[in-house]
Amino acid sequence: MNVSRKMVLRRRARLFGLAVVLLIISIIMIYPLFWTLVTAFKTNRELFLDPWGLPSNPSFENFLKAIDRGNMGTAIVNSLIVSLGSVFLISIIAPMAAYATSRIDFRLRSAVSNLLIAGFFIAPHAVLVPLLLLLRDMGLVDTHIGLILSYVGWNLPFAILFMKAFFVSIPGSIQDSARIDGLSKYMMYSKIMLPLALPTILTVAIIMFIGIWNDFLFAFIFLRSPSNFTVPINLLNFTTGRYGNDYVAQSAAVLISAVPTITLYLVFAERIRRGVSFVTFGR
Amino acid sequence: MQNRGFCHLRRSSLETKLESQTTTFFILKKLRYFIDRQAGLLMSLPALIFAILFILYPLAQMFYLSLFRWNFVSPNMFFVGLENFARMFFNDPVYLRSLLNVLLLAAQSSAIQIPIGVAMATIIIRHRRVGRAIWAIIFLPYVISSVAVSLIWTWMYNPYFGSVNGFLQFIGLGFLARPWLSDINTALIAIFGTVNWIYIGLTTTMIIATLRSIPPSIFESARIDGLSGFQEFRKITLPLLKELIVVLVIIDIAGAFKFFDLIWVMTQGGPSDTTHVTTTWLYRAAFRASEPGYGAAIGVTIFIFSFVIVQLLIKFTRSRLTR
Repeated sequence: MNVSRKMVLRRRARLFGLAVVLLIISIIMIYPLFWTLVTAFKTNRELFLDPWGLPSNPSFENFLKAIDRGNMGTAIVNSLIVSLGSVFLISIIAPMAAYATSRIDFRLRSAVSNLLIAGFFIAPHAVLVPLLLLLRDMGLVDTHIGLILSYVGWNLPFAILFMKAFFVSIPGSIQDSARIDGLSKYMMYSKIMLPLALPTILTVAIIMFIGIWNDFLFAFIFLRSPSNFTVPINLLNFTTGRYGNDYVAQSAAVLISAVPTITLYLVFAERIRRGVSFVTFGR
Repeated sequence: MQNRGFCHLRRSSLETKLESQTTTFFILKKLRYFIDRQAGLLMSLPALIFAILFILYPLAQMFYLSLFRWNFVSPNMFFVGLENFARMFFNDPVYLRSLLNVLLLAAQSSAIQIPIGVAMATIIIRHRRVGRAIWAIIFLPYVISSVAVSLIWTWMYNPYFGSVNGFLQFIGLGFLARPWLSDINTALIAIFGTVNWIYIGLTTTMIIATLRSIPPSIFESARIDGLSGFQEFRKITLPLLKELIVVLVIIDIAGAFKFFDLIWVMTQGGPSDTTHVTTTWLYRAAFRASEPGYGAAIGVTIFIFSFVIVQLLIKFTRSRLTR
């Protein structure tokens, strides 16, 4: 009796300790975001006088300032064009290539397959100089098209790798029966495989959208004029330019910049987490 | 042309044979045959063009450029052989420092994120309901752009209104307060803190995915055999995680060579060039100092270092990746 009570107590103590640790970690994770949310409704005066205090007169003034003078409105439109354009191209090209290299036998298949995936293992940072020169030769520096093409080129490897894992898992019997029905390889892909692959394509598209929406590197190197800026590079521009000391407006801009990806995350959390745990490189 | 192929291919082969063999038809038939025969190649063609134009070609040009001294605009490029590489390893302390920082970054990421990640993952799996909420929270930073995260943490570390100093004062450790990002002794540590804040959720998620792939019957039988929670963890979970931990370490190393945004936004490599990683130093050399040849040479080393690591990665994950 005594022994079992002791065990119950110990169990409770352990659970309590666990709860405390989890609470602390959760607070550390959520606090900086919460702080930014609160700060976005303050004035700069309030921020410096009482960094932890609540806004005395909360208003959306900072958000309007970020959109208007901080160029965030234009940046969001630009980011939408670039992200959706890239994701659209990737969603068409990647499944096709993944299907071809995993389910169709052809000469050079393994060489093609390796070539398509190779980019996944290479840091794009290494080739920044030649990439810029390439875009310059194509006349695409400081254009959205140049940026989109670069994103497609460097995101295809992951998308193809991801799609291949799916196509490989489809049982061969489906393909066999379709072949007996006399479908060509193209018809087999468009009529049978593509509909089956749609959920996987959605997963890839969401992950790619988040990655491209958040990407800083390519936009930073390839874009020059603020009217073309995407959201992350515009954020940096806002914080280093004329409004460098306007921290409350910057907080509002940061919040605005994260709205689309956080919305996607709230809707597709499970899908996104399953997708990124497939295999990831910190980028 | 492909569309044409589609509708022709619908016909039965008998019908096709009956077609008269005029020249046009002959060519069309050959073309149709080619399109059908080369389906695999043609379907990978768009992706192939992107891979060659945006990855393979720039990669080749990087090797070429690394042998030259140039300034982006001048029509003259001076061939200097391996001089850029010699300069990098013998005459550029910042480059060597940046390599060290990359290794430190990878080492601390593995040493801190993996143990915490394993702990978080086991907790999240065991306590479903609380676990779900915590999982949602710790993964959140990963979907926010690195620039936004960097700005938020720059404010956290701000000497005037930053919460880090405020908290230290609050708990009576005010003497530790300092301008974290501009203090030469703490800038790198402050950046590492932010890195872990971002990636702890991702690491945990990857560990959870692996743990979930373990059939629950194993844990059940362990419980019947009377294993305690800790024994269960040591005897079953840990051995199963071993392979994943190796993969995570390699991912951390490769990721460190891909690191750029956070450092550029938070410190630009400063103070006194102590927080540079190879990528930020490449950017500085190529685009700020206008030495694309030297930048390309740094790129070559990044490529080689991370390529070796990737070979390891492939070796360890062969079963999952290369099919």
